[in-house]
Amino acid sequence: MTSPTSATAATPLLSVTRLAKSYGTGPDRRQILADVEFTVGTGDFLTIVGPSGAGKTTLLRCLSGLLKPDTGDIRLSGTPVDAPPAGMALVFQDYSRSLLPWMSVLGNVTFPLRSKGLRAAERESRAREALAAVGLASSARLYPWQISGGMQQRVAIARALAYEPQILVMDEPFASVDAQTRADLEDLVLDLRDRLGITFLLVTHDIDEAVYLADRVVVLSGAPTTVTAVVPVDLGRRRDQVDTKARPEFVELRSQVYRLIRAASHDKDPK
Amino acid sequence: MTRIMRILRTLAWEFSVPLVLIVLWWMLSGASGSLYYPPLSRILTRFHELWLFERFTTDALPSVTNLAVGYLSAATIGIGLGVAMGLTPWLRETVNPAVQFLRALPAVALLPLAIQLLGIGWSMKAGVIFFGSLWPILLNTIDGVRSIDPLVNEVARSYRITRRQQVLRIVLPAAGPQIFVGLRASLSVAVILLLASELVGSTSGIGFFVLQAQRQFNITDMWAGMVLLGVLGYLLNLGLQAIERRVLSWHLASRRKNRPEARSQTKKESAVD
Repeated sequence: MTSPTSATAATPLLSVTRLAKSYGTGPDRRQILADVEFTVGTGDFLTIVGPSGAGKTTLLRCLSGLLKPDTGDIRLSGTPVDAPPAGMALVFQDYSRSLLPWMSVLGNVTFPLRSKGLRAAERESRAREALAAVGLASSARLYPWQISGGMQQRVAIARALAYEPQILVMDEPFASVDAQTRADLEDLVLDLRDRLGITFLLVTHDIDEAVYLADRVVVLSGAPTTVTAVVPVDLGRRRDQVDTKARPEFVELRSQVYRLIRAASHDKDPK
Repeated sequence: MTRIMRILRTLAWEFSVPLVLIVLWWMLSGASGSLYYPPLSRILTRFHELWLFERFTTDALPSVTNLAVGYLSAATIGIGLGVAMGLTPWLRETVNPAVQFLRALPAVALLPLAIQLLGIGWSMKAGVIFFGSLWPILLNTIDGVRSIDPLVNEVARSYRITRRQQVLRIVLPAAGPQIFVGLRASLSVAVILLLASELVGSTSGIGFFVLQAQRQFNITDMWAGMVLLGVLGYLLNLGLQAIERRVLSWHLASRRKNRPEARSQTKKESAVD
């Protein structure tokens, strides 16, 4: 069977095909994902946005190999994903729980590199490089609970960077920080993408953020979830919190995504 | 200078009440002619004669060894089995009924059986101490492992952390605070059982010595033995606390930081300095 989106790239880095997932059985059975399908090309910045309860986290857990889908096919570089793949790194929403409080900032970043079979010296130099990339070179010896929330999420991003994944997957990574920190972190992520050429997949409920960061925005419907539309964002690679967001194209894209989401949740909300 | 002041103040807090009690005891018993309540000065003299170090190797050392063997094996097996049970639902469900039954048995009730099985040597005593100290450590470890945030396990899985690394670097530290609750509870149980195991069918040990002295109306020696037991228990607790402070330094520090009232209190204290 051929995927309708396979035309976008010869071999997409990540492909999600006819993905479905439900929880429970019998009358309690709840279909979360009905039929989700999209691809991510190498170097892409893809954001996924959808109304609350659209199963964004479920989708993310499926495609990262943490949760087994009912049906469907997920491939990273052509290899089926049935367990967390080595080429993928995750950044979770809740940095205060995803960092290990008994390890220093440096320890948190080096720890996952053990499973890559790297020597201690190399683990440390890679981790220091990643920490420098997120602007935390001088905080390596601190503990997560000694630094601010925004800094903690930077550590989580550094941890993912040091892992050197083919794709960096983020689950509402900036949902729990204040607005200013959030803007800083968004720009950090764009900057990393520019400098390091990393492929990003970012899930968010924030339409502004989805449009601001993305090359393409995948709009989900409410549960049972399908892909409502894939909106290309032609705002160029250089983005700016003030200028980009003031551009008429940005405003138009934002309205378009907003209308799509609203329409999708009305369709799916007959009760 | 302030560091020394702080240490002195901590010591003052720690020892002020015991010191008052000891002074009271010293003064009230000073002129005592009673056979049963000898003056503290005489008790301390006997303490010095007995334990530093005439009977140290014959009575104190065997007790401490039994305690160490029983307690440390309980800690090892309790933590090991607790982690395995905490991580493996089927193991937990199969073993749990047996655990619940066995832990309900007072360890002292096992003394006759233990003597039957192991005789009255060190293995019986260490065995009883082991049996009694195992449960608090085991149950707290299971609890600690089970209450680990599932997100932490997802992080470990998504970064393909090996099972071994996960247990050593994630599960044990995460369950650490709860494990230490068990270790502390078990330590007092272990000291009680040390004594109990030496009171029944025994030929050496501090408990045996105390009982023997009482039967021979060496009441001063009996008191000296009891003082040794008290000191021993106190030092063991201090030792465990020191280990805990080292191993769980991250936990204690993060908890201090997350309690604003504690923070303002330390600020006030340093302002006084």
